[in-house]
Amino acid sequence: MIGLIARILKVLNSETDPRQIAGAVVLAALFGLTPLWTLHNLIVLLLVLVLRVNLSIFIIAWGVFTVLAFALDPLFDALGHAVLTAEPLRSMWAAFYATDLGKLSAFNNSVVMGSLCAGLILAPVLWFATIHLVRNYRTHMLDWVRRRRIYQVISGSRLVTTYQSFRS
Amino acid sequence: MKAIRLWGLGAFVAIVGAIVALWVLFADTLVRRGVESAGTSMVGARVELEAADVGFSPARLELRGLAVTNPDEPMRNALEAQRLAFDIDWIGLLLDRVHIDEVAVEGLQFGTQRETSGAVMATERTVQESGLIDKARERAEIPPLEVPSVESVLGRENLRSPALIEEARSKLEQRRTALEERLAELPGEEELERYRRQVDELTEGDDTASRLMGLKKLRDLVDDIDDDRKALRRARDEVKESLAAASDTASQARSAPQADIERLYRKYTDPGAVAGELAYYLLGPKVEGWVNQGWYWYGRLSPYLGGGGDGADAEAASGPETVKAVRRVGRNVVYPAAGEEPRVLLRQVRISGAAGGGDLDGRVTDIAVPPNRWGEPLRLSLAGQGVSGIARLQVDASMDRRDPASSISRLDLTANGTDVAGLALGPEDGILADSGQADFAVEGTIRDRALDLDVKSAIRNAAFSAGSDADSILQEVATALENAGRLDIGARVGGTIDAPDFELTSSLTGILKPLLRSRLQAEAGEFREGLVAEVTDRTGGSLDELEASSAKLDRLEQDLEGRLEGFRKVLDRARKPLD
Repeated sequence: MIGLIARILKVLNSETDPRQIAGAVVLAALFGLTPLWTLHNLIVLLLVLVLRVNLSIFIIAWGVFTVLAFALDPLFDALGHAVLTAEPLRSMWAAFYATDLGKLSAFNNSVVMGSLCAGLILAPVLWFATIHLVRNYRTHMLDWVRRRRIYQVISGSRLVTTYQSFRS
Repeated sequence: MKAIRLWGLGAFVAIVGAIVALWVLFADTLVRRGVESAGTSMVGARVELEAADVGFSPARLELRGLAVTNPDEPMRNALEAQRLAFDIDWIGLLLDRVHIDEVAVEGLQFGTQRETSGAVMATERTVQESGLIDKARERAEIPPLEVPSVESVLGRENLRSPALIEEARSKLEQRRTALEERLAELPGEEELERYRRQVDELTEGDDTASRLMGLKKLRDLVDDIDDDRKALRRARDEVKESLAAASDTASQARSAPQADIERLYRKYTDPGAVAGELAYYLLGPKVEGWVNQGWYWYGRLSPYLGGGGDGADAEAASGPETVKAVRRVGRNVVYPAAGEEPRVLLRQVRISGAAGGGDLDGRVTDIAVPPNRWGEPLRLSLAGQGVSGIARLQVDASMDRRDPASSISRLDLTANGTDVAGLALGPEDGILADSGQADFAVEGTIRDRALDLDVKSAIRNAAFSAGSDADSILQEVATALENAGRLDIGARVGGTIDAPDFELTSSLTGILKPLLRSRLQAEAGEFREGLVAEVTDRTGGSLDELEASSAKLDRLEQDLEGRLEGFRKVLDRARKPLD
């Protein structure tokens, strides 16, 4: 936990571009909210590795969104089922379902569709919100945080150094 | 800042490559374990595979050394196949779709010995526990082959007559109560007396005027009396109908003791009937076992040959259908599409070459799941020579489940020149065939849930023997069978899957009849006398009560006739002055 906080603070307090952090959060939301073994997650993984997003933030956010997904599954199920059975979209889904790619993607599963829709709707919100929060943090809070004793203890303590060397 | 990191692309390729490499390395083991696990679940006993060889270019799967345990004999394999080979479609497999044009099966063997037991704890069962027909177990005792004492017969047999007599008496009493209530509502002696008085008063006027007035009133009175008489007549007709029905009931009950006597007398003294019981004792379990075994395999394999029909409803529905997701939480929405193909389709399974010590050739075509997505029914055609001791084997079968509302399965099997050495008869295998040849024929259909199966067999040139410690009658039967030269056994299974009818026929009855005649006839007369005395004693009291109830009913009719006569007389008296 200490290592986790230290790692987040390290990223936030570094010169890392806020868009790299926002990209990591958005991709982590798609990766964590949707069931893991799906075709679109292969594309998300490719994007995570190829695009210069922050991997530490991605891994931490993935964990957070995965936990969140368990609680939100009933909501995803209802949302996905509504989308999949919506009359205006039916012919499109039926055509996609008839293709091999459609079947491989498992889009016709209510939780996959619901969580993917939720992830895609959240993506722009998370993108702009994360950039805004990181910039504000660095402008208004960074100096204040650095002066706090707790930050000095966490970032400079022998405990954390030992812990991080042990982890690495 | 560069937006792309090239090492990431390399990492992605490495991760995907590692997954593919692992699959290539372990594919054989995974397929082998998959076949064993799925097969064991299908059969209900251990299915083993020596090796699986997965080829990637061209995509091909070869299975070697397949052994399927017989669930009823865990130390024996129901089937062994040296080699199965077929082309596979990897994309299809990823989509949970198995389409195979041709499966080649070679080196089939049946009933081979196993070194270790193939029983599975979770699915331990025997055919006897879940068979279609379970009648044989109810007759597991050897029937008495000498005339038994009346006391012992009545100790184990249920007389049907006491219950029938009691039921008839109860019905008569119910009828009597109903008729008494009906009669109480009808005009009786009181009304009759009142009419008599009124007739007297109206016909005894002193002067002409009062007489004329009386005659006018008398006309109305005649109408009233006539109405009452008509009501009584209607009631009498009803009573007569009721009495006729009651008479039939009573008559049946009166003849019930005699029917019991005849039934038991015939059962224990008629050589034909006793021989029939003995034939059933010896052959019933064997034939029912064959039927049950066939039924077990049909039930086990049917869901995998399109019997489940899980996709059938989806196609029948006009809109998308929601089904429970298999791989993850949530629900899968299935969209019906024109020309959708079955999830599993085996166009042809070709069986050829040596099998069970002989040669077997044939094919199974169009195995489709769900079957309604494929235009052809499943067909099986096999022909063999010298397979597992059968000189000539021919099997033709089909299973048509294209229309889920009306499925039909057909079977036509002939197995001629089967070696029957070792065939055991009787629940405890009391009689063994030492040698002989048999011809079998099984023909039938299962239409929806209706059964129509006919099993015929003829055992020729057979030598039978009973063990030295076997019952003497079994030894006599074995000798009689050997002298007969030929034994015909047949069975007919009808009814429905839920309530099957089973009828066994055999020439054994005719073979055993002469053997039993002398044993039974000497004591038959005495047995009959004792039976008559005992049954009469047990049913006499009930019959007396029945007669009393019947007599009470007859009295009701007489009472009604008396009333009618009274009304007729008073009506005649009232009409006279009017005439």
